Parts: sequence; structure tokens; C-alpha cells
Amino acid sequence: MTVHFLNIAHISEAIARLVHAQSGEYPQDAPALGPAYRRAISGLRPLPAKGEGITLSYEDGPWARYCETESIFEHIFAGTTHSDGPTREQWDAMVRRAVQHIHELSPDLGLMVDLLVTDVVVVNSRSDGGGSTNTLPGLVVMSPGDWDVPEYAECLVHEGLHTGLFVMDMVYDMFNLPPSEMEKDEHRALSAVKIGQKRPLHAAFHAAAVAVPLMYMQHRRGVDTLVSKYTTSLRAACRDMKAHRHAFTPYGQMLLAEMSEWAEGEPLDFDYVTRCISSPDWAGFVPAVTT
Amino acid sequence: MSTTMTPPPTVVGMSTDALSTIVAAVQGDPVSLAAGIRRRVEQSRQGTHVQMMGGWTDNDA
Repeated sequence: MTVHFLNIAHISEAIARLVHAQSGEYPQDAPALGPAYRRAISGLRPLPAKGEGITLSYEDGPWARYCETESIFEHIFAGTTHSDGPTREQWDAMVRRAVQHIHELSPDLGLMVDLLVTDVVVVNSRSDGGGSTNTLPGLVVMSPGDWDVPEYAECLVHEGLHTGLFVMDMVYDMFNLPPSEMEKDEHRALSAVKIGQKRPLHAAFHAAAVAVPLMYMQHRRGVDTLVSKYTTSLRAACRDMKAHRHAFTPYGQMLLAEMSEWAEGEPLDFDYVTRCISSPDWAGFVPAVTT
Repeated sequence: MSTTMTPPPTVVGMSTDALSTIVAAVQGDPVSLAAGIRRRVEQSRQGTHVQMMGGWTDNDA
């Protein structure tokens, strides 16, 4: 048993397959993967991705304007206020420190963020948090409030894994139903993080999945806030999602089963998550060819 | 209030060489795989924006 969706080999294979599907070319090695992915997603979104690093912008930048025009993250951008130069410099510094912090906690979670997060829009919104969407791969929106470096880092990993799950869904197909169907009451499941609330099945799955590396990061830092907060709700969410197994493809069922098995551990085995993230043992996933 | 615990030892990531071998190995994929990926990519672009948001006071994923 592993947790494929956290495994850097599995994530990298999915990215390589997406690159080939979009460009006809295979990345030749690991260093070529990031630039090739950025070229591929530049053809899928209105603004291109730069060759490396995280490009930052703010409430008056092109990404914010695009999202407002397209009514994406409406409640976030509708509530934004102007950010001045010193604020933006502080945000830039915090994002850079957060990326370094992620690498220090887990080199391969850091690599995941390096591969998947290309642009971050930082804003002052009415509440604090982050966002990403399947139609804009690489883009993360962030309203940090008075966060410190660990919270910036958790947001980058949180949203980075969301974007990774979107890639895995495009490459391997996770659900038998479209998102619109999963909004219906009969396809909702418990959220691991909005405790006690039912969410559309794909959102519930994403919420549970991203809770795992966040708990892991805090465990690595010697903090147990999220572990204490989410252990029971993650288990409940997994059990509820398993009642909806029919809505997952075989690949999606595999991911759900793996996460569910780990979530039932008492206590949660974070040493195993370390292995799940970085072991090459789970490379070589061969997808079924679907037409 | 959180309980501070002793941080575990540092971890080592996968080597670049090992990951490169893994990345290169997907060149053995069946030719037909890419068509399914392109179809799903196009479906996601045509559909509504699936937004995942964490930490907001509402609309959390």
C-alpha cells in the first residue's frame, strides 16, 4: 500500500504523460520535466508560464484581471483591497522563504511545488486562504492575512497538490461522473476539513487528499494542531467516500483505498508518508487505455 | 492550543538520476494513451471551472 497521489515518481509520470499528450514529445529526464510542463500548460491557459520559479502578481495584475473577467474566484477578488509596495515586497519574501521551508521539511514535496506551481496571485481579501482551479494549471491565488512562513508553505503545498490532482485526473481519470453531477446531494460526501459538512464528491476527495501532506508538514515541524484536528474527520470522510465508490473510476478507487487505509492507522504513520512521497518503489504505474 | 513535539530527523528526497529514469520510462507507453488524455484535457477546458479553495471562511474544498 502506498499513497500514489503524494508520490513524486507518480506525480512526475503523470506530468510527463500530460506533456507528451499535449506536445508529442517526451521529457528526456527529470530536469527537463518542469520546463516541458510549463510549455505544455502555456497552451492550456490564457497567460503563459515562465520557464522556472513562481511568478508573483497582485490584485491589479493580469491574472487577477482575467479571473475577474471570467468570474473565477469571484468572492476572493470581489473582496480585495489595494496592496502597496512594502506589502508586496513582504509577500514576495514570504513566498520565497516558504518554498525554502517546504524543501527543508520534504525535498520531494518541494519538488512537487516547483513542478506544479508556476504563478501565485497574492491579495488582501476578506478572509485568508488559497485557491486553484482545473482550468488554470499552475495558478494559485493566496490571501495570507497575517500568516507566517509555515502557513504560506502549507498553502503552497495545499494548492500545489490540488493542481497535481487535477493533472492526475486529466491523465488517469478519477471519476465516473462530471463535476456537475457530483454537486447533487446523492453524490456528496463528508469533508475532512469542513468537519461535519457534506461536499461534492470530487471536492471531498480533494479536501481529504490535501489534508494528508498538511498534517505531515506539521508533524515534520513538531506541531500536532492539524493532526489533532483532522485525524477523526479524515477517517470519517474516507469511510463516507467509500460508500460512493461507484462514482470513482478504478484509478480513483485505488487512490481512495490507499488514503483510507493510511487514515485508519492508529496512530497515523507519518514515517510511512515520508516513504510514500519519495520512494521509487511505486513508479511505473501503467494506466488502462480508455477511449 | 497545539502540543509541540520533537521534530523528526531530516529526510532525503529521490535522486535526480532515479527520477530521470522514471520520467524517461513513460516513453514505453502505448500510443493510444495520449488520445484519452487529450480528450479529458479538452473536456476539462470546456466544462465549468472546478475551483478548490482552502482556508476561506466559506467555499472551502
